[in-house]
Amino acid sequence: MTAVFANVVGIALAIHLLLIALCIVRVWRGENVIDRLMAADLVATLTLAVLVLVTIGKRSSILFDTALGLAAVGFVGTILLARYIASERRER
Amino acid sequence: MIGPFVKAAAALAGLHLLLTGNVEHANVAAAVFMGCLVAFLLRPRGRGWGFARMPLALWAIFLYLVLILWDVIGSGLWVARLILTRRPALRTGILAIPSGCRSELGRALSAHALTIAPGEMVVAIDEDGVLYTHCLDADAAEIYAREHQKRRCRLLSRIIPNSGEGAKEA
Amino acid sequence: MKEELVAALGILLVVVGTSFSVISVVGYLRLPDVYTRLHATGKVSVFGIVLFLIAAVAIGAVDAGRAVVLGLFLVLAGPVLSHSIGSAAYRIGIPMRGAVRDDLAARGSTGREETTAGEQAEER
Repeated sequence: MTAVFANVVGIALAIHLLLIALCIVRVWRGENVIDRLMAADLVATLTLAVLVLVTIGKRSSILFDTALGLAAVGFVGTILLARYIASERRER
Repeated sequence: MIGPFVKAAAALAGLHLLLTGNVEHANVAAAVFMGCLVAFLLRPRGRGWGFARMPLALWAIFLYLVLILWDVIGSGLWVARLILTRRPALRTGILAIPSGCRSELGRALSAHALTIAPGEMVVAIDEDGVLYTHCLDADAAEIYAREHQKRRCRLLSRIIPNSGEGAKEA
Repeated sequence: MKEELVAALGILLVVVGTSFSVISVVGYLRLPDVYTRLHATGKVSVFGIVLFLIAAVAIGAVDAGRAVVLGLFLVLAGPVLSHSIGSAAYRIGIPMRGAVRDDLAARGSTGREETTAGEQAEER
């Protein structure tokens, strides 16, 4: 059962990397600014999921600290970008 | 003056203990020191303890958290099912839902809880405390969200003093 | 025996969490406009990570305290993110597709909200 578990975690990692690639394509050619911003936010969330999955696979919590930091930085970054976009457009 | 400081220091010390994950004496001492230091730097403002209504407020906080947890699970499943249906019957729209709270903290918490609830997302808040909410199913939310907001506001008025209907903002 | 049981629970949680991640990205690609997509990205993807966290705690990869901190942070931060992106989208005037009603447009522009907030700040 534990061998199956390792395989399942590996497949989940692969799927998440695929999803991240899809989102990056979407950042590149999105419909509008907000659409790209949402794709970037989704990339941050999925990277968080990848870090937690690596933690599960390796059974060591080294990368979990990185996940905590990424959550905080991604949160602040997305909010700052959203506010910046909103204020930038009104001044014109 | 001392009440908010103690609250913030206790919360920060608890966070330090959770993050480091051991309860040896040296670590607890370090947690208390860090909590006091950061709380001193933050200089929190606000009300004191209000011991008389503490048990009732704690019970209300517990009920509120259970309500939020229920909404998180429900909204995850609801939106997932909506995405997986072949042709989602969307009747989107922005509804005006009065928050019923006078204090800013109450309004902010209402907006947070309403955004967590299934298929609803607060887009803007105006100065009267009306929450403009984007709903995936506007007709259902018209009834459902207003009713839930009333219940939430009753709970919030027990947690935060002077926030309920008819109370004046300090 | 116990190890087998924990591994089975872990498999279940990882599979369900991965499917929630996939559903959130599919929803992001499929749904018609920005506001409906925010519902998909903000709620469903957080759900997936919380399931992974439960699995990590169950197999003993991280201690429960840090997982609880990360999970609570995600649940608190998710709505704030959705709201900030949604409000930015409404400010710069991105249209809703197939909307039934719009109470905010009926009330007036969002510019008024900004001025009154500024006046309130000056009064203090």
